[in-house]
Amino acid sequence: MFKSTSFLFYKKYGFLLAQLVERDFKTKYRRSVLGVLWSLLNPLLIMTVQYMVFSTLFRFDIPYYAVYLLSGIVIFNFMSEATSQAMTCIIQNASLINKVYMPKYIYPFSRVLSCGVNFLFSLMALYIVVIISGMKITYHHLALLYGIGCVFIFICGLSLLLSSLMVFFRDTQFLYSIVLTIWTYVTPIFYPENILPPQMKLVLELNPMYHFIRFIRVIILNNGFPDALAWIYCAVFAIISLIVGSLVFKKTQNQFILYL
Amino acid sequence: MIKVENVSMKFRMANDRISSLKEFMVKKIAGKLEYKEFIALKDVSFSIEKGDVVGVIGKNGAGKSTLLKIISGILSPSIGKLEVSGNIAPMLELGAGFDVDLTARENIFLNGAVLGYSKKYLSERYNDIVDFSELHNFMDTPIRNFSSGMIMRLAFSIATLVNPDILIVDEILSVGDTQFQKKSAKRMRELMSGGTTVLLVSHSIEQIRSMCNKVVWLDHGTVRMYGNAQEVCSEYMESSKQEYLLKEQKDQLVLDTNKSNEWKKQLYTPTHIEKVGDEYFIVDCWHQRVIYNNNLSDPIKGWKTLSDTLGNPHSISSDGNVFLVDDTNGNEIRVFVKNGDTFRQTQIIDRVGESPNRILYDAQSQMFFGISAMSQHVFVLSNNGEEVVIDKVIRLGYLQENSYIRSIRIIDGKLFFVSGPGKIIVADYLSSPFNKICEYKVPFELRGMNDIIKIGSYFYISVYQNGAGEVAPMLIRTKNLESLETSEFEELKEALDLKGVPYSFSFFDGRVFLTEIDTYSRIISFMIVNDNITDIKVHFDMGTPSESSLRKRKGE
Repeated sequence: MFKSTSFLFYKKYGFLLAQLVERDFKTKYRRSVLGVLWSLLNPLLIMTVQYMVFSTLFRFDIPYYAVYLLSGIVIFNFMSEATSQAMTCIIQNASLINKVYMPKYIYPFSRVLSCGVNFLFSLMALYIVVIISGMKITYHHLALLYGIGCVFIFICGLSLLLSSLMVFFRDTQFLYSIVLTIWTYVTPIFYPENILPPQMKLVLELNPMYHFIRFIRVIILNNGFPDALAWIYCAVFAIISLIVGSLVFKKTQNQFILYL
Repeated sequence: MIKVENVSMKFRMANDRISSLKEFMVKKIAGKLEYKEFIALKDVSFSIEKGDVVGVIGKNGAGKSTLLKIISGILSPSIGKLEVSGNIAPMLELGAGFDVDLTARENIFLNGAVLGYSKKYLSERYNDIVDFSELHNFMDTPIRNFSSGMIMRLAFSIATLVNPDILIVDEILSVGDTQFQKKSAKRMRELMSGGTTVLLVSHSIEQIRSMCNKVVWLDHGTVRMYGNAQEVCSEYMESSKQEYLLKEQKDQLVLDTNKSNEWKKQLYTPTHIEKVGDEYFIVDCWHQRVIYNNNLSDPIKGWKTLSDTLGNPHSISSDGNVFLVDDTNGNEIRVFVKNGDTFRQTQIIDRVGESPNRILYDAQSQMFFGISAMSQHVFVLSNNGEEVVIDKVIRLGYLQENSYIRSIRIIDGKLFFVSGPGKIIVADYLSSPFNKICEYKVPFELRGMNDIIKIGSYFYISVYQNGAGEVAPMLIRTKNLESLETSEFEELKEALDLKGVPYSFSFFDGRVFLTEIDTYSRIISFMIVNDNITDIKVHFDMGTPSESSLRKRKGE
């Protein structure tokens, strides 16, 4: 049943989705000299700066700090970029929504997909660093697919939620940018998680990004599979996000047109 | 094919749209969250069979576009049910989803995808689209460089490529230049006659009549009538005709009650009356116009307009061929020529100083002489047969005393300036620098003179203000200008029963005409026989200005 509807969906809207993603990508790098290379360079440059700052200033004692840092940056940036972009998509496509019928989730979904393509390039950057650092790539890396899949589903859910909230309250984007800043700091991206005080433990446990990033770091840095609980945590957060996001979106989408 | 059952559409609009969380909370807590309900469609039901071409008619705001949006799925109805079988091609909007940064080729695929075509279909028809749009050479150009006509051509070519079961058309589209318009209209007709079910919104009843077999008539959100196209259209026409008539009557009523055009029947500060050939001209200064007629006794309502775009004109003069009017506020002289029964403006002459206030024609020198009141420039114009040219513009030293010179007159071969700084100055106007011959001092009460003439053995002088600038109308005459200084003159205000401010004199039809302005607008005339004033006639008595005239003067 699910398979047949998703196939129908793909048949009907797959081309549109591909076109929208293609447009996002083409317009993003149109007229820039390096073009698509920026998707690769950007995380590398951020990593270099942060690496220099934190490895010399704070002297965190983390093995393969560059990989540790970059894996966090790549995953977190995927989330923050995709959700921020998807948040405004309904408003930005107001003229289209007013004129042509298509399922409205296409808009946030296509944005998340475009950022996903971007993410794949940053992943390449990550692997370049992994190889340069002399780390081994083992069959455990296949588990990355699961982790990335969970992140992707989590982002989709959050994007659906944010994009519908944004239609009704334009303050959402300002609030969310603050939330993102705080989120960056409570997630162990550039610092080791053990420097956090014990009272922050609960916050860490409830932070989905912590679990996603940890899942991926275990695979890349330790060359092993994460423990069973980690797999469950990732799935739970992804599914909760998707359910909440879809419910809110579905319930409010007919009202969008009245508020645009 | 399409079944609309009891569909209603309500829009709930918050009185002022709330778009921030804080605002929402504040209003919610304060209990001020008010909504206004707007019902766009109310209990609409009808069904469309396969192959029907259905027209949707109704006035603006009747709910036509809302209905189309509901049928095409963009809006979902508040109440009611909609059944549609078959795929719908919306043509609500051309170029939906165009991205200006992409090339025309990329946009064809993007826009095609938005409209719901498959990649295969688009690739197959790509050449047709390009051919139809005639934009072969521009396919790899970003459409930001396209003209709007080119964009519309491209959009139309994509949108009409469809072969849908149901076609929704919001106004028959014709875009581009004439040739492309013909082509696109033809394409539309082909599409609609190909056996597809069509829903067409149009304001052209003729179009609907010729193309549709059924018509839905929407009126304030409800179906007023649904059925045979001819019947519904006739009913609709009949009803809108009646409404139109009703509206017409209402408009007439409104017109009568607020009397917005009342001023057209009146004069307000007629500064000058003149006769040229068989036509009489009145310069209706504070109504900003000059009117003319060949019969002096016709009411103003029947007079024709020479121009009503003048800024406080004060005088008109003519050599029989060209008619010159001063546009005092515009610092210009406008030139008109007679063109059959009407007049045509041929020239605007500027650079004659500030506030030209009086222009007159001297038959002896065949020149126009004028005075600019504010800047004390004397200007001389001549008609060389083709156009009126400036002969000279001079600022005379003896006038420069911060004065406002309303008038010049040629009397006994000499040029008289009045209110030329609070005295009468006489100059030799045929000599080039206008040499001053003499001047006559006037007493305090005559300082603000309007006009001077000589008839018989008397000089007649009209006065606006006294030396303090207060409005103090007077009309006097004297045989000897030198005696003015000692206030030896004869007052005529009583004799002529003046009501307003006496302004300018003119002579024609063997009579002397005098205009009265400002507080009371009137035009009178009289005859002077052996220095006796006789046969006083009142031609136009407008009384004090009406509300409508005051508004007109203020430019409302």
